[in-house]
Amino acid sequence: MKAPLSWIKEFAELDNNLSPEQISQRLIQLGFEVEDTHVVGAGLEGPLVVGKVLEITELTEFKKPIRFCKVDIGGSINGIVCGATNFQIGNHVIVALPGAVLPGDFKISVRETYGYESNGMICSTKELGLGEDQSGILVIDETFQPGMDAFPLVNAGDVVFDLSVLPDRGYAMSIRGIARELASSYGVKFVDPATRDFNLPNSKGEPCQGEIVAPEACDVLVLRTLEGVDAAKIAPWEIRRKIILAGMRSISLAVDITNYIMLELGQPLHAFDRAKISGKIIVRTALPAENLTTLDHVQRKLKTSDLLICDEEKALSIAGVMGGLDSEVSFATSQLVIEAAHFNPSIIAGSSRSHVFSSEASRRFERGVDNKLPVAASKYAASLLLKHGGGTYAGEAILDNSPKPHRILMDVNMPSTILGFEITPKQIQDCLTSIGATVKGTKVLEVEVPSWRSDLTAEHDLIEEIVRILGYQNIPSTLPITPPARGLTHHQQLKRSIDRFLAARGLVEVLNYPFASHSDLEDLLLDSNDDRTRLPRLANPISEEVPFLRGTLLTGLAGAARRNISRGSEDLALFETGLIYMLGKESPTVHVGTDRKPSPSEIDSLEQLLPAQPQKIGILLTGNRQPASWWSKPIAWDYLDAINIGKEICDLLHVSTQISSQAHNPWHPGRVAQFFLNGVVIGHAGELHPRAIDNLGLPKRSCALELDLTLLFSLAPEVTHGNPILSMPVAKEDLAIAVDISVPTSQIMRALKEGAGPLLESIALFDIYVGDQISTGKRSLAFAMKFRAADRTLTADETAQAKMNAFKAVESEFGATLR
Amino acid sequence: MSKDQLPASLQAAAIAKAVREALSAISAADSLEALKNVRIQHASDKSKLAVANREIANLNAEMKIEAGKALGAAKAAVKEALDQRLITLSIERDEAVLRDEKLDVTMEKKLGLSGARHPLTAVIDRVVDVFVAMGYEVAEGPEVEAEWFNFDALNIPKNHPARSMQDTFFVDNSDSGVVLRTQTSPVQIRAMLTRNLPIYVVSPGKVFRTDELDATHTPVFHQVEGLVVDKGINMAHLKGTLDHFAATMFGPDVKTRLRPSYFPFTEPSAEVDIYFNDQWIEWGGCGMVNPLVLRACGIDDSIYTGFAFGMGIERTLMFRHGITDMRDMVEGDIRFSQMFGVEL
Repeated sequence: MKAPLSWIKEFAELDNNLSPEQISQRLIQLGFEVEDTHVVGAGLEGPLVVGKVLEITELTEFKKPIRFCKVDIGGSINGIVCGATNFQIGNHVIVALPGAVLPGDFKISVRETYGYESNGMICSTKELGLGEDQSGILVIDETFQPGMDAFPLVNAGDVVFDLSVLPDRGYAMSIRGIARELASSYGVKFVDPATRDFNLPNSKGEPCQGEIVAPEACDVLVLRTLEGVDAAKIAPWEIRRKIILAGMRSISLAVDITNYIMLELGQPLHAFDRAKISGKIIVRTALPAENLTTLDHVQRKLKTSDLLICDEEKALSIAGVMGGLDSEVSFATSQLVIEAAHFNPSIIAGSSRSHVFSSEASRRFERGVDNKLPVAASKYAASLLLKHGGGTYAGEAILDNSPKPHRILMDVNMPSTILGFEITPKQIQDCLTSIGATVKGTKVLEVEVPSWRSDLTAEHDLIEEIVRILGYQNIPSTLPITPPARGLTHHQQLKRSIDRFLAARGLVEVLNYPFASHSDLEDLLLDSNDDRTRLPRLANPISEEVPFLRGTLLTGLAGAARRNISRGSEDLALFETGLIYMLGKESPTVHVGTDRKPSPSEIDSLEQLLPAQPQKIGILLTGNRQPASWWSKPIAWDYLDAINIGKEICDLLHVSTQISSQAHNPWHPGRVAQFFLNGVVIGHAGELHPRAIDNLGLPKRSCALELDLTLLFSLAPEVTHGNPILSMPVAKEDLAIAVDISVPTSQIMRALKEGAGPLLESIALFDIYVGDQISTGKRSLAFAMKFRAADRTLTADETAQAKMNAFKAVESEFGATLR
Repeated sequence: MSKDQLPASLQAAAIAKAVREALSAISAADSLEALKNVRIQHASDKSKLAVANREIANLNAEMKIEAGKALGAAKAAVKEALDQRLITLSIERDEAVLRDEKLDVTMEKKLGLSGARHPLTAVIDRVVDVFVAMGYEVAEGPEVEAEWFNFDALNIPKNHPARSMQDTFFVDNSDSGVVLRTQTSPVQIRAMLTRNLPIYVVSPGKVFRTDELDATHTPVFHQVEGLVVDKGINMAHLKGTLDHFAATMFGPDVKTRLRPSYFPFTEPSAEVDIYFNDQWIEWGGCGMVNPLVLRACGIDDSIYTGFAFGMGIERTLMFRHGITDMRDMVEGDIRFSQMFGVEL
């Protein structure tokens, strides 16, 4: 909302010494956002005079339309070249004469242009610094005579605040509201423009009648009928100037006057051409399959939730949102019906959303308009129309079912309790009175809320008003005394440890969007019964290419990898922890109220609506883990690196996961490890499937891991138990065996451990040999074993025996031989 | 030769000469190798003093004592000189070895790749640490959320602009009752429904709005929200908490300002601005928990009051670390995270 300071000052007696900056700061304190402070006609210097256009010569030989005009500037006639075409012979305009300076340091002088001598300039609103309107030359009404000094018409130096108004403050979308706010805050006199006396002559004629069929949506309807109005007249400059400064366009007498009153009082009004109305005006909701062509020439399919202003045959407008094209007032209109009403804000908001259309009217109605305004504002409009358009008053129809003023009971100590500093009963009284409320009582206050403050419904609303008027800067700063707390949960700690561990391992965290496309599933070679394809779909995705929520982190990681590679980072180790989403069973939508705590079954039914959202960790490895350097050949990331990082994550969580070879897309079927514990699969790691790699546009042999963190966390012991450190001497033995190449090393290790018995402290594979020295299909594996007893030094015999037992185990299970 | 007569090799002059020769050879030895030869020549069984020593056996008792003393002193002098020289030469040899072993320590030898956390994760942890230190716990909730938690319970009415398809991602269809959470506030509701009072929680997390990605907007971003519900909680507590929070994030000189605002779930409501790098910046929203919200969670609002606040993590990262383009945070370019490493 753009609010000229001069207009505000008509109703609030602000100190003239206040600078625009001070007022702007005060507006911010009151809860407005000041988007801009514009000085009207900044830098404007005269001479500026009223001119009357006497002759227009169209110069057609140029690329754009150019006019040479003869303009009566009072006593003399100036020839002026002009590039705009929106004015006619006889129009009164504002002329900047040679010597004048327009805003932007634009000096006007006599000059030769387009073959003519131009003696001045016919000005537009923009050139005069009144606003951004680009519609051309400003035509003013004929009450201003040629030769009059036009400088005062601009009122240069006036300030326009461009304000954002909070969504609950409909009243503040008016000069009336803004002036009241400033008057309250500065403690100065405020004159309510809605309570002025708008004289209307006695009525004679047949006023248009009204009927409200939807009382829950409309509680006040006022119709005033005028006859014999000259709608083709131009509204007086003072009204048009204000409209222009407020950023609206001056259109016609009826539209300008209704807009002017909307800006000043906050009540949107609509003027209908009575000749186009059949019978009475009816407020009702739309019928099924009803249509209306609105002022913007769009034929709109109405919803049965839309509230309409209709006559007995058809819809005339979408109430509070937009007028219909057919009943619009034209310059030929002579019978007018001014409609002013009060609507249920949420219904207007609903229509505005569903038609994706927001108007000056809907923005006010959905924030809440004073329900006492329709009578006053429509009266004001009728009186202005009669005054400036002539005609007679045919009377009114007033339907007023507005509720009684709302009363709120408030303990006098409540403001101090909630705000944390002492607020006296007098301060409460003063603040609430200044916003228009009446306050009775001493201990428990009975506060009657003014009609324009439908946002004030409970004690807390009043408390906000009090602190807003007193100023939020008065709130002291203290800290509450917190109870003993438990710190991060074990799972939260573990999550942090994983992040830091992976970063220390050389991995870089990325945070990808959790959106997915259908082709992602094909890229990953997932078949249709895979859980990772049961994806929730968004009704309004950021792009139709990615309408799903992800079922795996791998696609996002691949995307990040491609981006990095294209930017020159080829050696990559990326990780992401995040949720994936999996549809559950279809569940019916449920209605749960908010007037009390929902029951456990209600909460459960809400939870049933949601997809499963486990947290996963994903890793993608590609390129080298050790780039080529002076001291090392490049070492590429390989499948075992991915698997090993997975093992290390499990170790970090103290979850003794097992792994096995188990084909699983999108991994290479022979190079993927499945992580599991007690039959529950935790995830997979290894080299990606060559086809998936191609589909994803990744370098060959890229590796990946994806583990279910939610599962892992649930398996992680809260407490890890320790054992005593044994101080008896260690006995070291090496064991080399030859065994079938197909036997997994993990199986051999397991058998060796089982065979060696409790004296075995650790075992590590330190050499692998395949080649001439060993028969085809076999490999040699060499293990370093450490033995130790808790209570004694082991004898050479004991150690040798344990080692031999280990060998016998692999010999019998896998046919291993000693080497 | 008579027992009573000193042989030439045991004459004082001869002994002195032998010692002189030895000492001179010792000091002339310039390496451990040379010293080894000197030792063979002057201190072994074949040395002059050793030969002289063997003569003593032939002397009478009285002379044995005399000659033994003289020869013992001579041998001791030689040994002492040898030992000293050995130490000196050993030190020199060791120093020479260290000198020769000097290498270029400015050479790069980086093992593997440079890892990093995402700076947003690091900022979240930093924020969480501040509140955990103040006695808060961390509450979490789902990202795909029921409208009841995301809107209804937060007193956001059905036709509120925030609930439109222009702002909110709906799952399946706009009547499904399921959305991508537009704020971390539903976690407040979950905390109030499940936790014992009093409640002091902070909830960081991912939130979603249907904005196009540009330098200052992203459809997926992060918020951190705080909620306190306790007896006697007032707006001064909120201000104090925000002041402390701002000081820990932006330094002790940062100023904060509360401005009236509107959120359906708080009343009074405020925007919190910080004065940082010579300008006022909008940091987040806050207010006293609307009693309607407490009621929807079954909390007696005649006994308990509360405050809540919420900040954008991306904005915090931008102000605090001078990031100007939000796209850097979402593209996953490793160079962005690597700038910050593990902690920031």
